[in-house]
Amino acid sequence: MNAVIIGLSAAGLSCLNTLLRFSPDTNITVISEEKYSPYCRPLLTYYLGKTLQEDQMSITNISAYPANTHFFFGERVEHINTSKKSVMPSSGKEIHYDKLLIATGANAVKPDFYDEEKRTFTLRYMDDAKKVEQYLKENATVVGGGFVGIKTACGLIERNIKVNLVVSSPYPLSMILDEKTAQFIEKDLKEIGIAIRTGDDVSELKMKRNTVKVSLKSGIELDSDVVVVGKGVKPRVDLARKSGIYIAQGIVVNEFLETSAEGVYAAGDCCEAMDVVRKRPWVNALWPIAVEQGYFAALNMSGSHAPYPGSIGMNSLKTRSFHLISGGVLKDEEGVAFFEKHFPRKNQFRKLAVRDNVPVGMAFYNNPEDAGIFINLIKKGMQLTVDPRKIVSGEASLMDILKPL
Amino acid sequence: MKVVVVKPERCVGCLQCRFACSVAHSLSNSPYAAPYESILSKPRIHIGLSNNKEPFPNKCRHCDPAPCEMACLTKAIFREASTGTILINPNQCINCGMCAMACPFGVIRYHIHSVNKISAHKCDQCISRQKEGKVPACVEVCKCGALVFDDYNKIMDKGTDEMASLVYLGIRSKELEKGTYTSLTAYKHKLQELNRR
Amino acid sequence: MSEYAEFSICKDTLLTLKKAHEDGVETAWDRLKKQEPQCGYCELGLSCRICVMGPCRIDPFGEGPQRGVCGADADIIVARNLARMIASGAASHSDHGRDLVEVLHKIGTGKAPGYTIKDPEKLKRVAKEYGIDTANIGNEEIAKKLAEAMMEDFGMKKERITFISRVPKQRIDLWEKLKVIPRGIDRETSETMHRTHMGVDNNYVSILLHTVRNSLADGYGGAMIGTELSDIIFGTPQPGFSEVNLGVLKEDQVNILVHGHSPVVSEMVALAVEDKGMIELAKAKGAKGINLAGLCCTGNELMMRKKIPMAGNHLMTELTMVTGVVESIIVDYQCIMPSLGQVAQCYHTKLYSTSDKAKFPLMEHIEFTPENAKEQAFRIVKESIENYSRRNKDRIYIPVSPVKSMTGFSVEAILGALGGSLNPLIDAIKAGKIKGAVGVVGCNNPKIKQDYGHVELIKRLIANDILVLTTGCVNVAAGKAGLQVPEAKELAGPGLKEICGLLNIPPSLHVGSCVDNSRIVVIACALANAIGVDIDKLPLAGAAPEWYSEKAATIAFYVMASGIFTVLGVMPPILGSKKVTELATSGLKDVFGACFAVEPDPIKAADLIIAHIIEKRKGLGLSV
Repeated sequence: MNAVIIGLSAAGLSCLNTLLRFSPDTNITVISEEKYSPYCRPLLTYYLGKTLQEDQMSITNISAYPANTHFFFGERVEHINTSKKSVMPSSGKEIHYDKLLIATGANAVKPDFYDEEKRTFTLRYMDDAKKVEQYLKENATVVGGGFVGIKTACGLIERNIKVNLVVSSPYPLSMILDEKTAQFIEKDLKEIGIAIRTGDDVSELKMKRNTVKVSLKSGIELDSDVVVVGKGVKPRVDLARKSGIYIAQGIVVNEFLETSAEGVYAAGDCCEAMDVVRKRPWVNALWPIAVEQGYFAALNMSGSHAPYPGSIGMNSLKTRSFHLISGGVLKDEEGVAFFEKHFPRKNQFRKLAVRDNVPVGMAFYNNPEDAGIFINLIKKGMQLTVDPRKIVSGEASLMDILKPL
Repeated sequence: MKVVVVKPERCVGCLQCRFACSVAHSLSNSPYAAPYESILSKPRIHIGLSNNKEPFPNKCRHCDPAPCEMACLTKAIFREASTGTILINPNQCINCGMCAMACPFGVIRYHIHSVNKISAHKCDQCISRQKEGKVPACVEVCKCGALVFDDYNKIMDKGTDEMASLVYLGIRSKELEKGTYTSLTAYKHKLQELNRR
Repeated sequence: MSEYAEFSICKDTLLTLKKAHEDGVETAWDRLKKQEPQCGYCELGLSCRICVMGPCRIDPFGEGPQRGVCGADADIIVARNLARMIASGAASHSDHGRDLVEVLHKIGTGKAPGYTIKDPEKLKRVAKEYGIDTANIGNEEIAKKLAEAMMEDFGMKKERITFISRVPKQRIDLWEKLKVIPRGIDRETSETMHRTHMGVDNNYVSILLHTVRNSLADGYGGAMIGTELSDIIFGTPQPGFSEVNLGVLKEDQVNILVHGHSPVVSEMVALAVEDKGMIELAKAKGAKGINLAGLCCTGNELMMRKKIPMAGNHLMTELTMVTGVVESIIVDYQCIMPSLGQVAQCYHTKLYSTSDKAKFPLMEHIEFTPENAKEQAFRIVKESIENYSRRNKDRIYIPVSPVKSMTGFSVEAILGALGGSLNPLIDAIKAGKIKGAVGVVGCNNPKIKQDYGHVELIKRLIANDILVLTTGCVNVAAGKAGLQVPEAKELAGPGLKEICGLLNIPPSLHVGSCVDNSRIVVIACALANAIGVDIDKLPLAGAAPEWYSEKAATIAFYVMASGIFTVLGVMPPILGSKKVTELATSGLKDVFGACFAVEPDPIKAADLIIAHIIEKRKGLGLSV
């Protein structure tokens, strides 16, 4: 069997490794645009924070792969011929496939004011980080109160760089958290020295000698060596679209992660698979989910019948002062009940959203030990066997929750 | 391939497995010296408690596929091929907390590993002891048969979740024979019920 | 408050526990939670730490080890562990008794200023039991001679300890036959430690029989001496009223708490707080006066004799400080949680330890001896008054008002209430107005909802015309629940209600501290002697619904060995041996005419007791 994988980040690599594990005889061709050996994108903030060096971000050793794997780095796929079952890379040599994985990932969203001339960058690729790095001296402005923005700000603070974090929403992590949970995060971020400016946004950027003058809508002006934008990502679906594969927000797949084209699968940030909590297809652009989808895609590509159980939005945000684990949806919607408990002495907070006795969202602040259990309950859409009040208060025991698993 | 199988109905809550686990993962590997080491070794098996106060050994099931391995950004978490054990390379761990989010069983903790280095901790099935031909430390000290080191192949064919639960809970439903410990458990149930009155 | 409901039935506990948690104070309940799961081997009595070939444990599931390194099986290990538990309890009461013998001796030799003989009549009565000719000699001389005679009870000079003579003849004969009559108080405890050494007694029945002897050395030895000498030195209690619960603490006064078991220290503190100079000093510091209150059994001792109120029982001891009004706690020994110092760090309370044998972290040690007790008491009271100014007025929290409670029912007081003889009581029992009597005794244990076991059991018993005698922590529980005032007769059955009304007494009588369980066996012996039967024929029972201490286990053993059916609310660590468990819960009945039952549910425990009393009444040919 000939398998072709487009993209060698989380999903692509996971698919590659899984294929080799379960169908070691497959002839696998990997085509990647990156000129670097595969690295972990979420680690870019750590790289920027100098916690990690470039070589520590590598996630695989290409030279160790067997002879039936073929790598094409720094190449783009221009077209997929779904009827002929072949791909056309930029080098021009057509490659035939029996099974194809599209793992083209996502691009960072670039706002109107984005301008590399004005030292304003997103943080998606190694080169982005390197560009930011070359200007970094004392001050940085980070735009965006999501995970990337906060992690970038925290990384820079660790390097004693003064950071202004501009958040357009009234509170950070507004896409994931409710206001109450977010307040803990906001307080902690302030305490470690990040100047966080909520409800504000960039109105104009100007260069003045070696400084970016950042004008905010509130009228505040910030002097900055560099501006980093973390405004989310958008699935990269151009290739799939022009190849006639059905696209919605991302590449549409069935429960076996197969696209509208037979033998063509999609996984990772470009793929719109089922979201368990939202109960509809959704792009949850997250590293662990991409790895998981790559795994399931590989199983199906190698002939197994392995339905993908679906994903939920989730993340872990750990800084010097706090650890937040969130999952599912914490939005106030009809039919959703919230349970929360704050432990001021332990500086812990737990919140759980439940619909029809099924947990649909959670945020555990400084309480990572049991968090995974609830993430799993949400993922499985399982009925709670324990009073949610007792879960958030910590009275319910692990055993009573795990028992039905 | 062998794994540590947990039989919770056999656990008497003596916590000896926790002590043995800490010692086995200490520098000195000595029960006398380990409590005096400058960075204390931490147990990787956790004894929970049901609402009825039944003790409940909780440890890594070495799931396949392992959600923690999938979530690990730095590939610090990996599967050791010969034993199928999921291991953590503490030097590669960046303490990002992703694995705690991913673990469906809540068995990952973050502790200081060496000076200035915190890393994720979890059961490694005493892989270094296994190489010396020994069984995992928790199994060695468990005299009640709540932790046994048993063949993995019997349950190999099952899917991940099913398998992880089976390793763990499959034996649960076995009928409990009448014994002294059963009487104690029954007595504790009663106490719980009374206190909630 | 509701989130704490499973911890206690007491309003003051629940409210102060909530505040304790707000203040960041850790309590016994929190520590229990952290300890759980507790070791199953130990709970079953299957772990042995006696020698260093071990430690060993037995697998209760039968697959793992079934014998310790020495070869001891589950039965031997459980029996040895239980024996050592009872030896510790006997040692505790007996050492407490010994301290009173020492004080009595020093009174007799003029070396205990501050201490006197408050009940010379009882001194003479007890001296006669010891064969001392009291004619023509002064009280001091009698005191010296009695003390010396009692010292012999502690040693090995005698064949049997003196107070055994109080026991009905039938029972003495039985004990003689079983070879369980204690020869010397300390001897039996020492022998327990010897027998349970590796390689000595390895027959579980033989170990347990000696354990019975050890417990009798407590009940009819150390503890009984403790009670009788406390009465002689500090006065025999007489009925009267006092108050219980946290509300006995006063916002506008200097509050001093005494905690522990021995009246030797607390009586001197009680003397000092009544001193005019001290009261003036307190007023000069802005307080309206000095308020002394008790905790645990030292509180019971003061309440019985001096009607000094009690702020709480065992599980309240940490919480008293949460009120923010306790200037000092003066402790002697037994049941004093080593955590008190930690709690005191959060408040202004000063803690004093007083006994050479009981020192605690974060407590100041001011040692009391019979010679210096009075001056030391004055010193501590003065320091406590000075501490009043350190109180943080914003943190004061006394959430309840005190409850009236009657106390002082010594054997002598009960006889007094009955007109000098037991006959009216016997008549009431024969007539079925009182169906029987039950000693409800023991501690608090955070595993059991505080006071729930005590109060529910007492309520059910009195409603069934069963007279209740309380000691120790049960007194405060019953007092708080309003069961220890004459008005509580309304909760009693018609017969008991009539008797209580007639004598103007509560249906639940406070007979003293935990050493004063000896008063209960004295009454049992006297009843049996008066009726002319052995104790096991009487409609009596004992109960320790919330016990935690080794002392309680010892009490349970001597009560059972006296022929009184005893219901325990908490499981002792014996379940690991089926043979020991069977012996304790049924086999003993054929030997001593009484056995144990374990029943944490007070309602079911009451049913067991009521059924037992009916059976005994039938045995005596009485109406049921």
